[in-house]
This record gives sequence, structure tokens and C-alpha cells, in this order.
Amino acid sequence: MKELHYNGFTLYIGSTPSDADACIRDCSMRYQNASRYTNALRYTNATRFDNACKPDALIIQRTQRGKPYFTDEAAPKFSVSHSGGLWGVVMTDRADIGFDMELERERNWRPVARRFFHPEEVELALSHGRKTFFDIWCAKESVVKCTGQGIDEDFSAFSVVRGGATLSPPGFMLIPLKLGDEAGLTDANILPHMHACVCIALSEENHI
Amino acid sequence: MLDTIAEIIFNITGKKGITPETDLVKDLELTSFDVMNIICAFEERFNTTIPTRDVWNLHDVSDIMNYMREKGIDREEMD
Repeated sequence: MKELHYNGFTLYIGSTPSDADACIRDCSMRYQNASRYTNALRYTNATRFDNACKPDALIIQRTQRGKPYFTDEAAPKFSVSHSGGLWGVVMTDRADIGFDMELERERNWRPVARRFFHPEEVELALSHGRKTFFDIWCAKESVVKCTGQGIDEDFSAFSVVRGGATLSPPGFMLIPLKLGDEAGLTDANILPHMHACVCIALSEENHI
Repeated sequence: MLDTIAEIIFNITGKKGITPETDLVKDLELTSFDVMNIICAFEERFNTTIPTRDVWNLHDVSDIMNYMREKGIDREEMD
């Protein structure tokens, strides 16, 4: 497990149940009364690896659109993503947060761009290629995970790029993460190809 | 119908061993991008449009089979 501390949030990334245990230990020290929350969070992280780990339904709930959250208002905010056999979770005690990571892989991504991207994003992805497509996808998904809206018919109605550069929607801050370069993580087969983005709500009115 | 679904999923993700009980996220570890990639392949294959709001009701392969039956999509494949 690796924890990475940014200004305003912490990213935990790992692949195994023991990684999840390490995540819990660190969260317990970093966030007040966090152990009970992180134990519940372990289920979210490790569900694919550890079927014996059960969630506490009173601690983690989901919104109607599926966004998980801690029921205690004093608990930290979090967002979870999985890809390429890794899980990642961001936690913050400040604002609503969304996180997405996607392993860049050989795919017919162009129909997905045309179907789900804003026209400005489609143009940029088609002209710059697969790497840019995955950057845009992660940025957009981090936004809709932050708002709790999820991917719906409005996913193509907003753009996270303008003039070829990353654009944070009003009220949000997008933070693209370069895990292979910045994290010091060692899996050279995965991390240099892992795209990731965090979205933080800057205001309470966080609808796009 | 199961063979068609399995073929599309395999072509997109390389995942095998699809059964009606296969959960797209828990068993196949598909990401949201994977799911949308599969949806695009279904739409192209069957010349149809699947509303995004319907996608999140499709949790396992049997849900896809039922959805295709309800929409009459499977008949196009059988003709």
C-alpha cells in the first residue's frame, strides 16, 4: 500500500487485503475517530479480494445514484476507484471529492468518445489519441463522482477541456495525477499507464 | 443470446467464462469505461440506442439478457 499526501486530500493505492489493512492503520492516525470508518471502507476497497470482510450498513450508505458515503457528518469524505488490479481511495476532511483511475489499454475508444464526450472533448481526443482520451475520461468521471451524479445523459453536456488544456468546471478543481512519475510506486508495468484524476468541490453548490 | 453477449464481452475485455450469473463489476472487475465500451459495441451490433440511465440497472449478464428480450433486441440477432 502506498499513501500519497496532497494539499487537501490523501490518496491510498494498493492491490491486496494487507494493503487495505495498512490503509486503515494510516487513516486511523490521520483522521479523528477514523478507524470505524476505515474498517467499513475496507469492505469497499477489498471486496474483490476478501469476501469475509462485511460492511457496516450503518456506517456506509449509498445515495440513490450509488455514491457511497459515511453516514456520520463528521466523517471524512472519500471516493474509490478500481482498475488494472489496483484499488485507490482518496480521503479528505474538507469538501466533496471524486476520484477515478483507469489503466490505459488497447480498446476501440473512439465510439465511446463520440457517444459520451462533449464535442470539444471529442475533437481533442480524436486529434491527440488514446492517452488523451483516458485523461479526459478520468477527469469527467471524477467530476460526476464528486457531485454524485454518476454517468448519465448529461455526461456529454459539460467539458473538462478548453483550447486543448484541462478545464475545471465552475465550482470544482480538477487535479490530474501522474501515478507513475509522482508516486514512487514500483510496478512499472501498470503505473506509468494508469490515468488518474481527483475532483474537489470548491463550493456547496456543486451541481454541474 | 448468452453466446452473443459473451462474444461481445470477450471481444472488448478478453474475459471468458460468462454465465447468466456473472456480475459485471464483482466477477469481471469491469470499470465504468469497460461498461460503456461494451454498451457502444452492443449499440453498433444491434443498431440500437441504449439510454445511459438504463445501463446502471444492468448488474449481471442475466439483466442484459432480460433487457434485450424486453426491448426485442435479441430478435434482430436471431433473424
